[in-house]
Amino acid sequence: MTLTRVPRAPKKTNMSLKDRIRTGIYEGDITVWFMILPTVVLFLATSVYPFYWIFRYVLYDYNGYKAYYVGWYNFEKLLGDTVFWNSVWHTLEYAIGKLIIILPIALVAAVLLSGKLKGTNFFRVLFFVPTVISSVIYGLIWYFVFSAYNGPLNNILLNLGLITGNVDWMGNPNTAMGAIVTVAVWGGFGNYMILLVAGLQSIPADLYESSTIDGANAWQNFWYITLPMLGPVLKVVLMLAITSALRDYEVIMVMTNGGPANRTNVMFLYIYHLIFGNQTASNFRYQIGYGAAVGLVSALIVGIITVIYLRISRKLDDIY
Amino acid sequence: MKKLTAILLALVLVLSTCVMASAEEKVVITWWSGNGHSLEYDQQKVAEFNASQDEVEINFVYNAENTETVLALAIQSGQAPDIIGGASSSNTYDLRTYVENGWVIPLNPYMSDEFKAATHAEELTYQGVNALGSDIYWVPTSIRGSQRIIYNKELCDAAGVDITAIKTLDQLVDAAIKLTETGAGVTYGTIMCGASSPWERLMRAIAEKSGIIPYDYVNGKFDFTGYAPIIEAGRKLVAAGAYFPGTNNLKVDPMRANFAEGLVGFYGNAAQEVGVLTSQFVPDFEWGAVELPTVTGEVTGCVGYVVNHGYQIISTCKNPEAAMKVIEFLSSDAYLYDFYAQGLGQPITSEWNEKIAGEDLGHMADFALTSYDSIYPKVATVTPDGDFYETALWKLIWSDEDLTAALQKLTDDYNAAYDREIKMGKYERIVIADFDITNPTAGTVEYKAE
Repeated sequence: MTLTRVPRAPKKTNMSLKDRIRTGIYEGDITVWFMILPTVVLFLATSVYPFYWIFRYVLYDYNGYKAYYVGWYNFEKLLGDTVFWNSVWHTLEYAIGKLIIILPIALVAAVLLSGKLKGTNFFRVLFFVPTVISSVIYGLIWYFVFSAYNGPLNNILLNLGLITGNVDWMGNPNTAMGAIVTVAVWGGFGNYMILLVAGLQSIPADLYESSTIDGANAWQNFWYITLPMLGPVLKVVLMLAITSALRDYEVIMVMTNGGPANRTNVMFLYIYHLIFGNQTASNFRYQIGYGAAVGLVSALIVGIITVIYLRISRKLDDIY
Repeated sequence: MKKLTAILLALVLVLSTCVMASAEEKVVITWWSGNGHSLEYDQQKVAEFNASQDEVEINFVYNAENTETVLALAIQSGQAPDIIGGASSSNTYDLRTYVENGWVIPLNPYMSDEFKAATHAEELTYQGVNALGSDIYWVPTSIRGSQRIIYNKELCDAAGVDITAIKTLDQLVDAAIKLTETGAGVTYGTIMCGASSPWERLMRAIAEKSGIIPYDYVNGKFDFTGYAPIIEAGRKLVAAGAYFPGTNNLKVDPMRANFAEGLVGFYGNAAQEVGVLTSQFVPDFEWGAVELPTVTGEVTGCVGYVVNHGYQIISTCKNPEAAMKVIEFLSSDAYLYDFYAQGLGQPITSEWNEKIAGEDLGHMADFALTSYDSIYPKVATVTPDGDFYETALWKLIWSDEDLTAALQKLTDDYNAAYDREIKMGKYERIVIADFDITNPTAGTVEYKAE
């Protein structure tokens, strides 16, 4: 039997509604709409509506009970809000710290685990496990690991003689950011590793065979074949890594709650505290309007960084 | 046999209809409680109440999380309770907002003379807390005693520290340092929960007893410039390493657990610690609670304590008279005697103190009201540019920022926010021209809209 694809007839512009529905059913348009309807409804209900709900308050002082119109005051306040602008720098510091550690580790792990060595599956699973654990849970586990008193890390370092007294990893402004970046790397690199493994496996093996016949060594194979061929995947991985690093706050909330003295306060944690309150003050007020304004500006900052990255990373699309 | 079964079934049906009819006659009053510590007690007393009479039935709902937010949503969606608790300690509770939004109604028309006399309803009024002008919105039946220094007797003895003799803040700091030195890296002088309202647990109360408060009632302005000695004392503790390691990231329960493990000389908190240290984190050493020191050693102010276990009627309640009956029960001897005797709350009146004098209150007696305990009139919770003052003051302890400049900036930021929110119509300026810090409830309160 031979199947022949029948080209669609050009749509008539003066069709009646009944004819349009009949044509829609016949051509499958309505079926398609029904299939995407649940997704559209969920998207509208869980994404678009919450955005609408929150952003309508950007021009208000809203404490959860009553909204007072304040015009552009929230944005004026934001311009002079040192806690917010410091949180932007802390976010960038955290994101850069996380990215420059997590991506090389993920890439090296992916390359090593793409080979046909024994135990690769075990290590793939092992490294991927943190990705499936709730970040709040592993944040709590690391909270105990980094505990200043009787924390396992301090105990190990004390036994090795590398420190002479308890180090308050999360309470010291000099070490707090390092502690949360460490946890972020531990929690995230397995995910990028898996994506990179998938990218590596899509590189045709004959490329390596040809280059090896031509006398290329392992390093040359990696530099001239693996990396360029991974370009499109790396572009996506980098974009995911950048946007998630800029939005991270859950682990930070569990471990330091932005402290000490705002040293680890990042943009989205600051927004969370504005909208849902912060337990470090007994007389706080919910600042939903201001939080919405800060959220809008933060989203713009993330958007701008992403656009800049996408422009810069165009070259990664070029595959030999 | 079939006939007998049919007769029995018919009887059951008739009886159940009668029972349902009688239940339907009862007015159901829904009470939302956020008091986790007395949950079992409340359930038991509600069951006794429901079984004891046939007019009103209490539908008890335990609801401790984000009560104000949930209430706002419930009122908007027509699912509000009839009665909700009132306490001066609630983080986000603001009576004026409740009243302006029409969420609660004054109890005045429903209070009988007997109720007023038994609860001292007209005397126990605190402006902006449970009353606005002559309107009373809830009547407290209990207090949470003010802060004390809670200490580990064994560690203090070992370090040669007589904590009961401490009168000044400097002496307390020295004691913490001495305890830390004696502890040699195993035990420490003091501890605080940096992640759970740390400022209000000790420093606020020491400041208040020393006459340092955040608001100048006479001029109707915020003023944080007086807090320098308190912050400096905190900085000495930090510099000497006298705080338990990790203090800044601890929540309240880990703080208590470390104390109960015998790792800390002392810490500060209010009367809720008695219940915690006798049932939740029980130390295996002797502990005690002593009154707070002051900056100079002289008591020049009042420490604010918490009034609680009062009950408000929500405006959507269809039967306020029945709701008042429930409030009368919750304020009566039948409910309160065991409540106090079991240490679930502290009496708010001297009559009640006498009534339960024969009961063994254990460490709760250490938190009994003193002559310098009082309630400050409620000041607007303004939203400044930057941190709320409790957070800002606590952070100052852990930073080396210039103190004079930082406290002045905090004062300016708060006053700017206060002026702005008054103009906006969000608050009115509270002014007490004849304010006396040693008797804060006595002055004449004025609210100025400007």
